[in-house]
Amino acid sequence: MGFPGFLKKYSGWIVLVCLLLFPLSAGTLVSGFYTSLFIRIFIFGLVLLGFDILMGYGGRPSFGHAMFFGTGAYVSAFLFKYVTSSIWIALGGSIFSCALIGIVIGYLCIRSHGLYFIFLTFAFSQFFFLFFHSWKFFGAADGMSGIPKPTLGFLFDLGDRTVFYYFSLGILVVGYLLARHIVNSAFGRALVGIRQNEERIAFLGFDVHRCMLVAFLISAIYGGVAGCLFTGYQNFVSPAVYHWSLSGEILIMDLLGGMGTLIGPLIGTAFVIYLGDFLSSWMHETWLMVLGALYVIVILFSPEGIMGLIKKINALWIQKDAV
Amino acid sequence: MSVDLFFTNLLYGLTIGSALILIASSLSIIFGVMGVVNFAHGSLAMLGAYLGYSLILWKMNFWVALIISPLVVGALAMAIEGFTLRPLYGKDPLLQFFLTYGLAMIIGNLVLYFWGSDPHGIDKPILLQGPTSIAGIIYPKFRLFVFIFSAVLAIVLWLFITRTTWGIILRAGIHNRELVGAFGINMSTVYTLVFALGSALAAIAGVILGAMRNINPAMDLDLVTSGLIAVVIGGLGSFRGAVLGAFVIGLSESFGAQLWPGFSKFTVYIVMVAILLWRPEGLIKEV
Amino acid sequence: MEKRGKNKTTDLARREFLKTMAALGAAATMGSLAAPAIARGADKPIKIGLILPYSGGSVTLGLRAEQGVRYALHLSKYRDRVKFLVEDSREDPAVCVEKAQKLVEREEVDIIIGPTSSHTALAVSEYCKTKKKLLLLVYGGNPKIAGENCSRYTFQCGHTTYSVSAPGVSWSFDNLGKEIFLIGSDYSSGRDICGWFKEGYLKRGGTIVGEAYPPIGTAEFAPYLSQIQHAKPRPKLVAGFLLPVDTIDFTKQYAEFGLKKEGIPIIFALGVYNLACLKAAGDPAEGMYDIIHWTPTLPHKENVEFMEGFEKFAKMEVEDAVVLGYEAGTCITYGLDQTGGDPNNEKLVDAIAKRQWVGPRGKCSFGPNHSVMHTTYIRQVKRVKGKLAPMAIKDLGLQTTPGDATGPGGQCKM
Repeated sequence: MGFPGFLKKYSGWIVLVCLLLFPLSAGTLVSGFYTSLFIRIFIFGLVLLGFDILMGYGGRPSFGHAMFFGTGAYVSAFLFKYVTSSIWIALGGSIFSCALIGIVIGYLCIRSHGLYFIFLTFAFSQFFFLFFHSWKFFGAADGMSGIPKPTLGFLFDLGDRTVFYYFSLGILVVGYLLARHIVNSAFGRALVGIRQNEERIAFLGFDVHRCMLVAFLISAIYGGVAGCLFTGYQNFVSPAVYHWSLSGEILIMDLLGGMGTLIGPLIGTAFVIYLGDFLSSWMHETWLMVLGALYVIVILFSPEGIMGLIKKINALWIQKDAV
Repeated sequence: MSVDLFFTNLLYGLTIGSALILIASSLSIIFGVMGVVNFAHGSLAMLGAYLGYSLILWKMNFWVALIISPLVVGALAMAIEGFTLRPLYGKDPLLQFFLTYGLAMIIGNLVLYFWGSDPHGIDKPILLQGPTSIAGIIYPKFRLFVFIFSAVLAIVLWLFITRTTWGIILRAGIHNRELVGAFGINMSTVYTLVFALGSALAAIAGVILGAMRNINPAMDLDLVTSGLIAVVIGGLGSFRGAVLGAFVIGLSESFGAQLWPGFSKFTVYIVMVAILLWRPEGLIKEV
Repeated sequence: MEKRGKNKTTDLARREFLKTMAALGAAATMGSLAAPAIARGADKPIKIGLILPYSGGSVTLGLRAEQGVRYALHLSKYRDRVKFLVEDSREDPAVCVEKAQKLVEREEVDIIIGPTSSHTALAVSEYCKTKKKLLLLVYGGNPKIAGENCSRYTFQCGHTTYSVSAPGVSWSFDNLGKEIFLIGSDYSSGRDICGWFKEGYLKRGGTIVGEAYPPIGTAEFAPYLSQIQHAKPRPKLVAGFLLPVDTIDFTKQYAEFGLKKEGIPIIFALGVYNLACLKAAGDPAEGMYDIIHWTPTLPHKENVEFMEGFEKFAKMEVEDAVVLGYEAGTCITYGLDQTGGDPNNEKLVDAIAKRQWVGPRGKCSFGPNHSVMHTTYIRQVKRVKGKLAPMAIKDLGLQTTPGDATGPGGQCKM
């Protein structure tokens, strides 16, 4: 099948192996700082997986996903500081709280579409932001610092950055496999159907609202898990995790990467985070302008994002094979 | 709350609202006709404010700046629309929304680059400085001016939209773009002009806000989010709704600060959620 | 069976694809491998990392502080050895810590000059503590860093929110009035400062007529102004702290709504009535007071020389942020002078801790908690030669932020 074909088929494995081996080079070939960057990419990638199920596959654009990320972050902060440093309990707590919030808010939001959905989710996430911005117990606008490092409960020390790298990578891989499974299932196909033609799917006997609620719930849980990891890694939390600009960034990462492909948003996440870091160091006074220009260019010339670009290249490729 | 305090808060709420009217109504026009949620609206207002500041620095007076600034911003908006928004018509509105998000970032950073980071102010015209009194309540003259000016401008726009031929074309365009096109009217031109008009109005709002408050490189985000909330509450695409939404925000902030200090910003979002859930078309359905 | 035609288009496509892949791969690798400091010669370059705000509401601080630092190093004999690495703090603690990680671990900087807001400063200080990296804070006046979060490696060179607010409380009581209305931006600094005023006033038998905490970014103060107007008994002064941009709006509206006419002055902490603010606020600010550690009109020669020299160097007006950057910079040059040019952090820390100097602010030194001791002034906005300027009207003496159990930040244990 030739070298490029080999690349295409095993690209997932190749990337995974690279990621697994990466930290070993950190500190020697490559600075340890990049381990941190990758951890950030993994954490946000997790949010994007769930988010893509809701927006890419289900067609509901949420501008409020910071509320799940933030809830996971704050719940974990509380648990780590006052209850136990076990990451498993924190994960459980985050999942539970986000599921609860996801069901309640999802139930209220799910009947709305498009722009209305955007505004509703925005408004709800603002509640959370304003709430935690004023809540003294959680440090109000300054947030909480001095949160103890999480513990794995056996063998490894999660406080070590390399260990945390593998842990978050592991969770990302599990999350991805789960998401892939969901998306390939009948439920996943129903979601796509809803996005394309909601009425028709309803006529086929699917309970549209329930499907969307489940999608919303799934995306909420992914967000919560990511938030938990974020606090576990940062050891502090501030209302910035609830800010609407975070929701906007999540949306952009999905859009840029390519909605509805699962892989696309992961690439989008890596792209935005890496680029943001690189640009803000290189052009610290004008990086926002450059980033904004990049978004505009991508939206104008490749609205299906990076995955769309790859698909086009692929199509050219297949053309060549067909000759 | 005493009657005196009630009226004071009412008056102040209307003040806050009138500052927002121009932003909200121009946002609403753009959305109503073009279907675009212009996230860069606040940035264009900010640009208008900075331009006004520069014009006054170059020794022009307030009123001249109030006219020239929107003209410049309007022209710029036409260029922006032609190069960036136009290719996206007919495509996913989400893409348009994010395009304007990117534009907001660009304009915001450009403003910082050219004008620097210090906050500035626009001096009010001498005639309008200082306080006056309304029914015994002390009220700044300039804010009274803003209230009257915004109201007059809103009424003029309203009349334009409802009574003139152009206005009818705009409203017809909201409902059925192709049909209007079939009448030989070039909708693309209409869109460009509407975007320019909306942006020019935003610039006017910017200059006025610059005199009423201050001009700083971070003012755009707050303006656009408040504007969007007002438009949502009032009704997406409804001009009257936007004006009403602006007042709802003003009143809820004013009374909220008095009744639930620290939670005043909540009230706005509570109203927003309530409207979106029970009456998503907004408080006023038609234009 | 495949036809192996020499189709130029698809060959081109294949080459393009491979090129793109190669380019992406190369870019990724190059980005990662951007090697940190290579072999350092005898004249080791001194790398100073700056984490300052270049986006968001505090941009003006970032740009100015950076110039202040650069000027200080420019005047020293290390100007050719120094290399600056500048990062945008984005006013986000998570981002700041990441930037700090990048600077310390990838770029291997010798010194970090730190972020400006309370929580970002704290986050970076905690990180630098674990890495034993010298951190000089410009602003970052979080009293906790002078107290329970103190660190041997962190120096608060500028001031803390305490040292430029609390010393002014007694003066206010004696000179402005006993009935006070407190107003503060609703976050830690705003509330802390109002808290110190409250404590001071209650201790001396004053009356707190009312309190208000407008959210950060409030632009319309009418509801709060009406509270002040309706307060009973009538306040003799309004005190506290609002963020600089909010102060401009508040002061303008204060005059518009007639409160200025009633003769109730405002006194705010942290020197909010600086030249930029006065330019934006205009006449409404005349007569108002603030509390700060420096003013452009201080007459001593260190200040005059500094201001003239800086304006020639950076072609920028001297503002408070410049002074803070400058003072951090001179701490570095002093430290290097003592260690003979060796940027070893342990030696630098020991040297800087003992520093006593006279700078643009007058006499300064460091307390045992590594928080600066400086003179605090009361300023009043006056019209000088037709322009508004903040004039020092009272020298409150040397002030610092105590790091004992009764101090604002708790007990410092180094």
